[in-house]
Order: sequence, then C-alpha cells, then structure tokens
Amino acid sequence: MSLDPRLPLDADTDTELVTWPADDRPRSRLGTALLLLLALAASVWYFGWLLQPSRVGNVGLFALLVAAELFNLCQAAGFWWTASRDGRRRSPLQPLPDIVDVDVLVPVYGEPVQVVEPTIAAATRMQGARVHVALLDDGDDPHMRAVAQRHGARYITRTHHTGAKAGNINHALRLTRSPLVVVLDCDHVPRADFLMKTLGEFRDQRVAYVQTPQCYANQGSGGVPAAAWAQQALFFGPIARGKDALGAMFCAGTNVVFRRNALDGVGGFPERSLTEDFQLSIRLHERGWRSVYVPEVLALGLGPEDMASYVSQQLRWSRGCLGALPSVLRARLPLRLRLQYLLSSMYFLSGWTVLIYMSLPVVRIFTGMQPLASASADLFLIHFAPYFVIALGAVARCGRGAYTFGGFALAASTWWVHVLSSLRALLRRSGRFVVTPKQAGSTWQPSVVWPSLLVAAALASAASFALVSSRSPSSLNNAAFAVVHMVLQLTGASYALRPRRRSGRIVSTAVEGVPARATA
Amino acid sequence: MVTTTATVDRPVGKSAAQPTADNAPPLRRLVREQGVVIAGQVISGLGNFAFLLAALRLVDARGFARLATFLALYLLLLMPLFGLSAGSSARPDAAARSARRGVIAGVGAALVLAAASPFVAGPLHLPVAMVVVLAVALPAAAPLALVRGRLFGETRPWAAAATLVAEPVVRLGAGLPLVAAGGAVGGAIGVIAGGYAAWVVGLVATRGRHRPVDEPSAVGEAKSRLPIVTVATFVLLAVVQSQDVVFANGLLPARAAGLFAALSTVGGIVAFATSTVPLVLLPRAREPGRAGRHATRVALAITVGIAVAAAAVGAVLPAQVYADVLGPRYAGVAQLAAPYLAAMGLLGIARVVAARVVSRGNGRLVLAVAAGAAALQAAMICLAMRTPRAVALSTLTATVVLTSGVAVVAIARSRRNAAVQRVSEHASVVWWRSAPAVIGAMTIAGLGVRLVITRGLWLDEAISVTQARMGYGAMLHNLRTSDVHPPGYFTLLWGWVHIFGSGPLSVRLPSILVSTLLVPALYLAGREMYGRRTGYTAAALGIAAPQMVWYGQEARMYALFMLLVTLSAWVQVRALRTGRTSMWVAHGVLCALLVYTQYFALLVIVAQQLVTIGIFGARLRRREPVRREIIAWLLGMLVFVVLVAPLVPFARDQYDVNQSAGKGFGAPTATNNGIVQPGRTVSPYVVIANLLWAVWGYHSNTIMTALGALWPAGMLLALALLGRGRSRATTLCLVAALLPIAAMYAIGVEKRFLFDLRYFIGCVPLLLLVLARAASTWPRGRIGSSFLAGGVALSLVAGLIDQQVNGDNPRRYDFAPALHRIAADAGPTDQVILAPAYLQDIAHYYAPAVRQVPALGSPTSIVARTSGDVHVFVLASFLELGGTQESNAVMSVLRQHRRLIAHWRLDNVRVWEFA
Repeated sequence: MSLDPRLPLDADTDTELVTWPADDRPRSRLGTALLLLLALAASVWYFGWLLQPSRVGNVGLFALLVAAELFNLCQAAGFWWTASRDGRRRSPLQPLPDIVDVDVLVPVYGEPVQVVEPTIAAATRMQGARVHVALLDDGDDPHMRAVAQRHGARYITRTHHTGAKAGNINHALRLTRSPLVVVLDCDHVPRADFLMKTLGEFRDQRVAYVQTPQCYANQGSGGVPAAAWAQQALFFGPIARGKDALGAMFCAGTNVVFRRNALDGVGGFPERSLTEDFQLSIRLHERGWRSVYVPEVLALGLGPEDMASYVSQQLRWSRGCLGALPSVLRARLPLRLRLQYLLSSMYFLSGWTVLIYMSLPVVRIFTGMQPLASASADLFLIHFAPYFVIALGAVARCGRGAYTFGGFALAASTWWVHVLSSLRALLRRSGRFVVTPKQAGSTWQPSVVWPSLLVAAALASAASFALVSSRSPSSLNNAAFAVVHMVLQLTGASYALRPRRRSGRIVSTAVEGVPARATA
Repeated sequence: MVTTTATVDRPVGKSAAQPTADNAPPLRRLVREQGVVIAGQVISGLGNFAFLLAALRLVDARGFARLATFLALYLLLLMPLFGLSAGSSARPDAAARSARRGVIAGVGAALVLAAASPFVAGPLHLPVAMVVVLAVALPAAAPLALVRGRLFGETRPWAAAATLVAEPVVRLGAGLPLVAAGGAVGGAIGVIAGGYAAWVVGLVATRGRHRPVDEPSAVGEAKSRLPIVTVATFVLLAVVQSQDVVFANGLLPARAAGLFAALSTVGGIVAFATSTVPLVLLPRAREPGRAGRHATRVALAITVGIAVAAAAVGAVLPAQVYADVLGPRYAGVAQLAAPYLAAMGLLGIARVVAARVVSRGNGRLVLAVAAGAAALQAAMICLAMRTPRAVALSTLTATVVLTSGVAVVAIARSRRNAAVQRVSEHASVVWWRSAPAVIGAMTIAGLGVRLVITRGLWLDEAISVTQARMGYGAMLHNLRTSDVHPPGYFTLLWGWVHIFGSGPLSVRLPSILVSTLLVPALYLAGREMYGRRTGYTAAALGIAAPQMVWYGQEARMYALFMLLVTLSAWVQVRALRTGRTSMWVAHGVLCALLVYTQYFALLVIVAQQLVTIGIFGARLRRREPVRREIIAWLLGMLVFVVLVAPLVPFARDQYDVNQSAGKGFGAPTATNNGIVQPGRTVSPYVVIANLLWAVWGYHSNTIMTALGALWPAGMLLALALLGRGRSRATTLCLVAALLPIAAMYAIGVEKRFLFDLRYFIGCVPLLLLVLARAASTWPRGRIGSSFLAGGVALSLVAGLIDQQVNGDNPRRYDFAPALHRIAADAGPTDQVILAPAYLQDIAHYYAPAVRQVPALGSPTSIVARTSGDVHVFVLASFLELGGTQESNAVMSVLRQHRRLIAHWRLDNVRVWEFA
C-alpha cells in the first residue's frame, strides 16, 4: 500500500467507502431502502412474537433478554435510520474566494519522532491556503523541537500540562491567530489537497467544523489493525455519511478543520472529558453551528497495533462517550441530533447485551431456567431467523462489505470494556487520558484479554457439561449457543494470543524527502 | 592453428538391428506379434478346457473334483511366477542365469512339499500321491516362466506361442491316457507333463542363443539380474487377480464360495486372454520414441477391446446361459458377471500400462500402486459384508484404483519426460499440476466410490425398470398416463436396459456413470467461476459427496439432474464471461435437457435467468455495451423454448390425467423422509434438515434431530460471511440453489409432500461449489485452506459412510433381501400380499415367480384371494404413510384363518409368513 499521502491510494484502500462514484446513486438507495424496510418488518415480526405474556419463562431472565433485544433493536433501528440517509448527493465544492491562513495543530505527547515527523512534513506541504504548522509538544522533547525546526514548523510547549490533549490544543489556540484551525493527530499524515477538499465548506458561515475520515494505513497488516479498521470503516462510511445528511456528524478529534470563531464561542476544547471531541461537538451543535463531513480519505493514520492499544482506545472512547450522556440529555438540541448523539453514546452499552446473551445458555445448562416459555425451537427460528439475517444483511449492504467477522468478534470479545466503562461512569470514576500507542507492540498479551478467556472457559465448561449430562435436542441447542459465543470470544482474544513478535518496531509512513522508517 | 574435431557415429552397445525413434516397426507387425501369442493363449485355454471335459468323462465325480482341485492349486502356484515371466521379458539376458536358480529353488521346494505331503494332503482333500505330483511340478515352474518371458523379450512370438500350445497338446495326447489308466493321479501327472513339455519346447527354442554381456562388470552384473521391481509388480498384479477367490473360499459359506469360484472362473477367461499382452509389450515398450508408443497403443487397444467385449457379453448374456454352462446352482453368476468381467478387463489394462511404465524405468511408483490396490482389495474383502457380491465389488474397486493409479503414473511420467526434454535444466515440472491427470484420477476414484453399492433397488427404481422394459411407445404412454416425470431420463434408461439388460447393477450404471461425471463437471464449473484451486477442491468434494453418491446409485433421474445443473451453471458463467453466442445456445440446450429430465428444473432455470437479467441490468446501468450479449442470450432462450415446446402437450396430458385420477402432485411421495409427517406443515426444521441432507446425506431421525438442534452454528456461519465480499459466481450459485428451495417451500405449504430434497436436488452441486470456494479461500495460506478443505471432505466422507451403512437411515428399504427370502422360501403356489399395493413393481422385480396379491379392497376380500393350502406372505412397507394400517387390517383377518410362523424385520420393510 502506498503510504505517501501525496500518492494515489492503492487498491487496498476502499475509496468507495468514503466517496461515492459519480454515477446515479438513487437506484442503490432504493435497494437499501427496501432492505431497511424489510429489516423493520422482520423486527416487528420477531418482537411481535417475543413480547407476549405467554412467552415469559423465568421472569428475571426474560426481562434481561427483552432488555438486551430491545437495546439492540434501538441500535439497529438507529443504524437503519442513519444509513437510510446515506447517498445524499453533494454539490461540487467551491473554493473560498480568498486565500486564507490556516493553523495546523499537531498535539504530541511522547510519540516517537519517526511517527511524528512525516505528519509535520506533510502538513507543511498542504496546498490551498497559507499554512502555519505548529507542533504542540506536551512531552518537552528536544527531538520534537528539532523536527519542528527541520520543517519550518512552530514548536509550542507549555509549562502546565493540564487537560491532556484538549488542554494542549487550547493552549496553542491562544498563541495562534488564523481563522481556520486544523487538528491532526501526530500519526495522521495529511494529503497535499487536504485543505483544497475541505476549506470550501466554510463558505457556509454556519459551519463550525469539517470532519474527514480516519483511515488506518496499517489495516493491511491483519490482526487488531484490520479488525479495528473494519469497525472504523462502518462508522466513517454509512454512519458518518448518514449523520452528515442529518447534520449530526460529530468531531472525531483528528483530520478536522475548525472555524476559530466557533471554538472561541464555546471556550475551546472541553478539558474535563476523555472524548473532548465528542463533548465539543455537542456544545457546537447546541449553539446552532453546523457540521460537515467530507467522506474522502484525506489523511492516513495508524490504527491500534495490538490488543493493549485497542483496549486502551476503547476504554477512553467508551468512558468518554458514556460520560457525555448527561450532556446529551441536558443539551438543547433538535430531536434528530439528540437521538443521534444518544445512539452514538449508548453504543458503548452494547457490551452488556453480549454479557446477557452469553449468560443465558450457561444459566439454562446449569440451572434449567430459561427466559422463554411456550416457544418451540422451530417457532423461535421462524421468527428470529429473518430478523437476524436481514439485520446482518443490512450491515453488509450499507457497509459495502467493509465490516468483517474479525471486527465483529473483536467488538464482541471486548464486551467487558463497555461494562467497565459504564460502571465507572455510574460511579463517576474519572478516567485517565491515555494516548493510544503508535508503536507496534507484542502480539502475545494474554493479560489484556483475560476476561474473554475466562468467559470462554466458562462457556466451554457449560457446553461440555450439557453434552455429557444429556444429548437431548434442548441440551444440544444450548451447548451450540455456548459454543458460538465461545468461538466469538476466542476469535477476538486470538489477536492477543499470537506468536511473539519483536516489539518496538515502528510502522512507517514514508514521505518524500524524509528518511523512511523501518516498515512493519 | 586450426583444430577440428571429427565425430564418428558409432553405436555403442547396440546392434544395428535395434529400432530407433525413426525406425519403428510397422503396426501390422506389432499386431501380428500380439495376435500370435494371444492365439497361442486361446488355443492353450481351449485345449486345457477340452482336457478337463474329457477327463470329466473318464473319471468319477470324486476323481474329477480331485483333479479340478489339483489344477486349481497348480495354477495358483504358477500365478505368482507370472512376475518372473515379466522380469525375463524385460531383461531376457538374465533369464538363463535366473533359470538355473529357479530349478534349484524348485527342486528344494519340491523336496519340502513332498516331505510334507502326508500332512498337507488332508487339508487339501487330495491323495498324498497327487501332492507329490504337485511337488514334482515345482522344479519346472520357474524355468518355464523364465523361458517364456525370454522368448517374449526376444520378440519371438511364434516360439512363445509354441510353448503355450505345447501344454494342452501333451495333456490331451499323453494326459488323457494317463487319466484313463490312473484316474485323478494320472490326470495330475498329465497336467505337469504338459508343463515340462512346454519348458522343453522353450529350451529348444532358445538353444544356442546365449547373449553375452559385454558391458563392464558392474553393469553386466546388473543386467544379468532380473529387474526386481518388474517382477514384484507383476507378482502383485497376479495377487490382485487371484486373492479374491482364496479369501472367498475361506470367508464365505460353502454355497457362496462356490458361486464366487464359478464367477472367478468366468472372469478368469478375460484375465487369461489378456495375460500375455504385457509380456509381448515389455521388450517393445522400452524402445524410445514412436516404436514404444505404437507398441503400447496396440497392446492397449487389444486389451481394451477384449475387456469391453467381455464385459458387454457378460452383461448381455441371459442368466439361463450361465445356468446351462455352469449349472443351475450358479445362475447367480449372471448378476455379477458384468462387473467382475469389467474388473478383470481393467486388470488387463493395468498390466499393459504397468508394462509400459516399468519398461521406462519408473517401476517403483507402479509397484506402490499395485501394493496399495492389493492391500485395499484384501482389506475390503475382509471388512465388507461377506457375500459374493461384496467380494466381487471389492475386486472391482481395487482394479479401478489400480488402473487409475497406474494410468496417472504413466501420464505424469510421460509428461514429465516430455517436459524435461523440452525445457531447460532450471525448469521444474510437478505432475500434480497436470489437471487432466489429477481430475482423471479423481473421476476414477469417484467411480470406485459409487460402485460400492450397499442397498438394493427400491420402489421408484423398480417402477423405472418396469417402464424401461416396455416398448418405447408403450413406455411413453405409461409415462403420459400414470407418471409425473418427463421422458428424458426414461429414454436413456430404456436404451440402456435394452442393450445391457435390467440387472440391479445394469439399471443403475447410467446413474453411476452420470454421477461420476459430476467430478470433472465440478472441476470445470469451479475453475470457470473461481479458479483452479476451487475447481480441484470442488472435484475432490464431489468424489464422496453423499447425495451425489446416493442418487448416483439410484436408477432415477436425479443424478442426471445434478449433472445438467452443474454443466448449465458452468456454461452460463462462461457465456457471461465471454459473451459468445455458442455458449448461450449451449446453455439453452442444457436448460432444455434439464426440463426433459425433471420438471422442477424449471425453478433452477428461472433462477439462473434472473441472475443473468440482473447482471445485464447492472451493465446497462453502467452504460456498458451489452446489446450483442443480450441478443445472444435471447437466442439461447429461443433455442430452449423451441426444444421444450414438444414437451408441453406431454406435460399437459400428464397433469390432466393425474389430476383427474386423484394422483400426481396431490398424492404423497413414496418416501419416508421421517420429517414431513402427514398432517404436519413444513416447518423450519424441515428446511434445515433438507439443507443438511443436501450436503451431508441422509441420516437417521435421531441424528437429524440432533443436527437440527445445532442451528446456532448457522448464526456463526452468517457472521463469518461478513466482509467476505461478493462475487457474481457465488450469487449465481446461491440464487440457483436457494430460490428453488424457497419456491418448493412455498409449494410445500399447500402440497407438503413436495418439499423433498429430490425435487430440488440441483442445489447440491451448487452448494458444493460455494463450499469449495469457502474451504479453499477463507483461511490464510495453503496450509490453512488445505486443513479446512480436508476437514470438509472428511465430514462428507463421514456423512457418506453413515448414510450408506446405517440401518436407521429412513431412506433405506431392504426390499431385495426381503423378496429374495420370500422367493427362496415360497413354493410355486405360495402368495405374497403387498401392503401397500403399489409395491408390485418391486415385488415383480425381485420375486417374479411368486404370485402377488396387491392389498386392494377390503381386508376380507384380499385374504379371500389367498385361499388354499398355501403359505401366505405379507410384505409391508411405508408404514408411516399408512402401510401399518393396511397391513394390520390384513393380518388381523389372516390370523383368523392361518397361523403366523415367521416375522422378519428389515430396514423399512416387514414380512410376515402365514401357514
């Protein structure tokens, strides 16, 4: 894969994911709409059967099952609603009438020079505006100063390192003056036409920020980066495009251009949130500002290289988004925006549903209790199967095949991250902002996935017990469910159970004129 | 200073008479060489046969039995020595030296046998004197084989034929008087005298023709030894020929062993007739270039001709001929003659190919194949059901494996040799990349699997046979007025039955062969759709795919249905890829053939065309030029319509007649599928069951219930499909496979018995193609994909074994053993009541001589038709579909008038015997 951001993306990058061809989209939208209507009908078919008094077996288990199913139905319906708005035609972008000044802020905190330098170099080469690049070093690293000097960028540091990334950016905002501000994570290398493809959106004076997708340059290396990318591809694909159509796209923290006035109006980045970008977006939307999403890959970054990095990232995101729930509920937002923010925040409760689903067969096997009564297997199948299959089909179609089994398994196996984050949010335990490591770590990290392994062991025990104690169809069925969940847990955990790899290698992004780093 | 190098052409170690690549002997000469020897062999056989016939009249029965036993032992001892003949034919130089060793070894063995004769005579049921005579034969046995081989190797067919003819001449001339004078012992002396006479003739023929070895000592030493690999290979081939009768004698009951011995005698004719062909070939086959190739082709043509003729004669000859020639007790040989003769014919072919390969110095692989085939045969005989048919089929399977294996080695080696000559020294050629060789071997393996039949005919097959036995017009009328199927398959079966007869194997052979062709068809389709790796995987899965084997062993149209669906899909993808009009026309023809095979194929055809329309639509949306292709497709559809048009009135007549008679689509299928019960709707579990059957075959209800409970695995499969991408080929396969299922499910809601896998059996090869694609591409790397493909294949094999041998398989109907037993136990006036009445076709097939009383009308009237001092049998089946009620009603009346004396329970068949 070409990692020089100024070269065309090669076939490995699905540009269709984040752009759409110039041909007629309505036919595809029609197919998607039909599928989504079918999904709605299937859910009515299933829940109409499920939510009947005669279905109640064990009351507690039934309540848990229904809660989990309804939660997932809400998430699914939200996805269908959002994806149904995908495909909006975008009018050709008109450039700004004048050449403007743009501050490009690159916050850094302890990342390797080899990761940061290409970003700085590429940022200085962006075209379409007078670019003022600033390296915001919260680590006070002289090597970073040298990098900045090498590329003619400004080196900004501060005395008091408070507020993590948000504080770092806010500090820089006070020292810079350009009317437009670009924020780039230090590993996201922008293309030369980044500004040319985004600045024109600011012709609309109501636009507060223009967000572009994150794209992992290391997705092709398989394992965690590929699985994480599958999740990102679904979000930055149909979900983000749909949110954009609804005017609800939130800031993702990097690859984004801000209008300084808008930032000043809300007091800059919130410094008390782990997901300062999410919180900022709420504030801006509350003030009536608009957001725009440009669905074209204009910068290439690095996804989490290993399980520890992924878990760290997910902990931060889940804690931050769940922590923002009160803000969402309190904010004065139009209904569609509120619902969109709720959907995004509450996604990080889905780990609870995974826990419930995994528990049910175990409880049934060991105690005989089950949530459903008066439900023969074929009746359940005839109602559940269409709902399940069509919902999966909707994800596959809307995601254009980007969402993979690996991505699903990774999400399912990190259910405990959501559970932990929601408990912390409930207990108002503040989290710590941890920079997602950019270095390729070890692929042998069993300590990171111990919850998944523990659950897998429990499921294996339950399945074995079921098979040993009885070969009745009911036992086999529950054992099968247990095995399915076990496979999902182990598949996700397997990313941390691979043969040891030499740690400390740095994934490179090669940029013309800059010595290439060692490649993965 | 200019130096020149003069080269002198000087043949080293070769005589001027040696043929070169450009100096191949003419074909006529090659044919004459083979013909002379074969003639000698035939004369020898006929002469020996005449000797036996004459001896039969000169000695009493006991004496003749002893003489026959002696002759069998003598031939059994000589059989392995066939390897010596082959070795000395390959290396005539070594014959003389080896002959001396043979004499010494023979004398030693003779002394041992003579000394042990008192102890051996008892178990052999022979007098001691005859055992001693047998011992006397030993010193000449090996030298005779060697001298014959030397004569073959020196390309002296007349002399070799003389040694063959000498045996019966002496046996008839001197042996018969000895029989008259000394009885069986005299006859035994006459037999070995013939052997010694042949040896003497050979010695005379080779007198003064000592060939000195003038190579350096090491090479000379090597050339004076028989090629061990060649000898061992042909010994093993002789073992394959004869070990089955040895095992049969030891494992089978007396009557069955006798039947098999008679069968072996019949098959031995072919083996005997072709045994000299490879020996004559050996010296020619090692010649380079066209000389060797021509000689091989002549030998192959002769052997194949003999094999095919023998198999055809064996299949066509009526059972009465066998009974007349072999005796009434051996009339059962007729049913097994064709496959056993085919097996012996294949053995002859294998010998010829082996001769070619070993003569080119590549004998080790052939030796391994021969050893494997011999081991396989022995294992199958020991492990299989102990019947003559099982032993015969074991031999057939072993010879199929042997022939295919030897052929693959030969093709691969010839290609490798040719490639080595063509390419540079840095090129490497791996034989397993030769697709025809690999697919050929897979196809032969698939044939072998399908020839292992573990069940008799069932009802629908018997109906097919009844119809096929009619005149063609009568058959069409019968189909039109009482059946619901189109005439395509029945036409094929009608022709086959009228040529090859209507024995159980014969009527199934068309389906067996058609189903075998699914293996290369899957390769072609898989390669066209996805690539070579998927093609290989699909073909490998097709070898043991349970449904392909099951319906490949059934005299019905379903195997043909599957083959045509596969070919149709292949051609369709090819047409979409190339846009050629000829491909679309071929697709139209195949679609028409599908409709002529099974009406429900229309659902598959509709699904295929929907995919085609969708693809054309997508191309049109992208503004691609497709006009020409659409016209070609329409032309193909026009061809389809034109070809199917004559069938429409036929189908219409069928529909009208069957609907007015209350039969046809409204009537239950004569199948106990165990899932669709009368009165119950078609449930999702039925769909799951049918999909499981489609891939893993038919199993007991217990197994199916258990498998159905594992449906959550389907959720995992659905999740695993995320992100796999989409291909038009997969879309085509899945739509063509699943749309008919969905349609049949919808029809099944109203006509529940129509939701049966047979009616959408076309989904099987399509699902296998998708499965092959997944198995060969989902895992990363070749090791992973090999593991997954191997695992899938193993699961299919496991499903196949359970399907074929599990007596609880609800699709198994043991009509054959039930009716055979009825036929064996019933007297000329005894009767069998058939409950339900539509069992008459199967009853007529297996027990034509037993008077049948269909269970039509009230039980009292049924029983009234069985009055008299006779035994009454009640044959009941399809018990879950009302057979129980009928049979119980009949038996309750029978019990009032008769005494129940026997009750047999077989798979889905019950028999009661009343006196």
